[in-house]
Amino acid sequence: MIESLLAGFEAAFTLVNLAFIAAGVTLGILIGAIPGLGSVTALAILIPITFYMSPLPAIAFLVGVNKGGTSGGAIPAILLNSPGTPEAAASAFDGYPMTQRGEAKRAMKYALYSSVTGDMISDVLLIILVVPFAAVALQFGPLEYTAILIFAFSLLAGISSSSPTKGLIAIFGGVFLSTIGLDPVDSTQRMTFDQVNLYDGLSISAVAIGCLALASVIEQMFDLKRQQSAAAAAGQSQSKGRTALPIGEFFSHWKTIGRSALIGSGVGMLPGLGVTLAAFLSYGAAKRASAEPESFGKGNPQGIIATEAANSAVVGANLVPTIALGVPGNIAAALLIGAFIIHGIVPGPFMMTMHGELIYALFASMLMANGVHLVIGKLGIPIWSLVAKTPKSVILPPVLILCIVGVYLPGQSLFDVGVMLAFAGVGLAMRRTGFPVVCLVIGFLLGGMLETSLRQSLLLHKSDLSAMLGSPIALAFLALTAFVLVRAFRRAPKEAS
Amino acid sequence: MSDDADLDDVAPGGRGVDIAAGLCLAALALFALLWLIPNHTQPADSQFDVAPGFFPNLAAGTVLLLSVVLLARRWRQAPSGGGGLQVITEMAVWTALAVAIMLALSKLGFLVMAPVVIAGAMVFSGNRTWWLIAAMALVFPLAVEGAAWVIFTVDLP
Repeated sequence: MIESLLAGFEAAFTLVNLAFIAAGVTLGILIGAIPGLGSVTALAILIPITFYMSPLPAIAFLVGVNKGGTSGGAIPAILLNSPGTPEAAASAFDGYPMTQRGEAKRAMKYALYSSVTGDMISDVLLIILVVPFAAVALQFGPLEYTAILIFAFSLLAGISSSSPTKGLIAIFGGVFLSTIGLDPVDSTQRMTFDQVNLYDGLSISAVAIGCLALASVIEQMFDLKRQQSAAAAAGQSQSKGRTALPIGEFFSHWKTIGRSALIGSGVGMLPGLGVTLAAFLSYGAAKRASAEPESFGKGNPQGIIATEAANSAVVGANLVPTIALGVPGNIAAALLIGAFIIHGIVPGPFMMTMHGELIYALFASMLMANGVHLVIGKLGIPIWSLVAKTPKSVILPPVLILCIVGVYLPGQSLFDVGVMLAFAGVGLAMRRTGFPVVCLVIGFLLGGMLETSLRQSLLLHKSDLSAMLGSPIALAFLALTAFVLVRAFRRAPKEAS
Repeated sequence: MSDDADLDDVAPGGRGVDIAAGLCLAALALFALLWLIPNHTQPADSQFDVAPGFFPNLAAGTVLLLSVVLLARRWRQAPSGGGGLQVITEMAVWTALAVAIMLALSKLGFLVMAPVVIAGAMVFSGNRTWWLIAAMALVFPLAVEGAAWVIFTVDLP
């Protein structure tokens, strides 16, 4: 394997390839930083550019876009408390309080270093585990997926609010919203009111951007209105906090980095679970493992590390099922499969034997892309930091417009813009009343998957849920669910008081 | 649950707001269970597996149950907090603005809506630097419109 990887580096280490990787990372970060346009949109837009390129630079360019797009979402989350994508929402929990303390640069450095480190660990795991882990991933059926999702919901309810009851209400509210549209089994209409726009359900980006980004923008504008011009003219950072982040200080959190990268890699290797779940599972794990769990949500850098290391780790790990089985781990991986096919590479069990040289050159490109990502990300931090110094009254109105444009662009649908504006109101009401908005969004995001896996389980086992007893994986996750819920309800009063 | 558990739902908004929120959510869940799902989910049963309405009913039923739990817990606590009027006012203002934005976007177009929204939002947020407001309101929408066309080949409405 080492020889193959060295040969891969020999093929990949060219000026042209490096230039395409750099261009991909830069474009990915820029597009990912715009609310609503994450790595998926960036990939969808940029795939046609690669049509006339040779396979290696083309795939390396797209891998760069995916890496940049995933980490770019953290920028508005940290600077403006307006995560453009659900996976970046947990970065805002601790990133924005750091920005308010005048530590925006430090927060972004934490995010960048965590993202690159998580990505690197996941890429190494991908290279080592691509074949054996694919076999493990095949052990996960609908029953196991159902149990994992129930566990994820319970964990989310416990970590994202001082009130698990409110967290659970928000999650199941999101799950209910996810059922609007065509039934996944019968394809009959559910609560669509014969509106063609609702056949595919509510747009994920419209709900997510409305609740997470736009609601935060409106909330901050209402707060500014109350404080009026004094605070508006003063800029966001009232105090000058630390900006430096020595590399030794970053790696002093090695336990959180390692744990989060492993969680992200594990989730990424299981098709369909996605980046958002990894980010929140990791955030929850970091909070539970911390000696000061109450400091999470108040500017604890470990919150940023946990989120960014995990969501970036998914990027590499997602290629495990993609390469080994031909099964895309998420939408971004599905787009990459499309790009592979365009360039004459058919993903699946024979990919390693038929295109081994190219695959190892791709692995080498991925490792190189992490270095390029670090350099470009560091160059960008001073530029992005200017946003933190600009008065909010100048920054927030353009972000409001970007939210509208960001939701309109992918589907060119005014209906989606209307849905986003409506959910901005829902998000605002939830923020003001202490309901965790992120729970609603993730319930909505994962609700369809929960329904599909639950109904597949019922079909497979003839509605006999005692089949769970036959699956040790499902049983383990259900036991964890019970433990997490009991712990959350017992800890909530202490935190609240 | 112990007495401690009664404090579970301490969160922004106070007791009154939580009770109002619990009542609203319970009413919405009942509306979904009694009218929305039965009348707008077809068919009532499936020949393949559970009925299409099974999962929406499960989700709405859980919301109803949890809302009742929230209500019961907050009901027993001492009155605290406030801010209900603030939430209602902000929601009313946002609803009016959202309707205006949608109407302007669909009837007048992006290049009319965006400058007005940017200028209005800047003034609302307390900015009184008029040259900056004018510059942002004029330049930013044009830049976004141009970028949308050049990068995505999408014509904004």
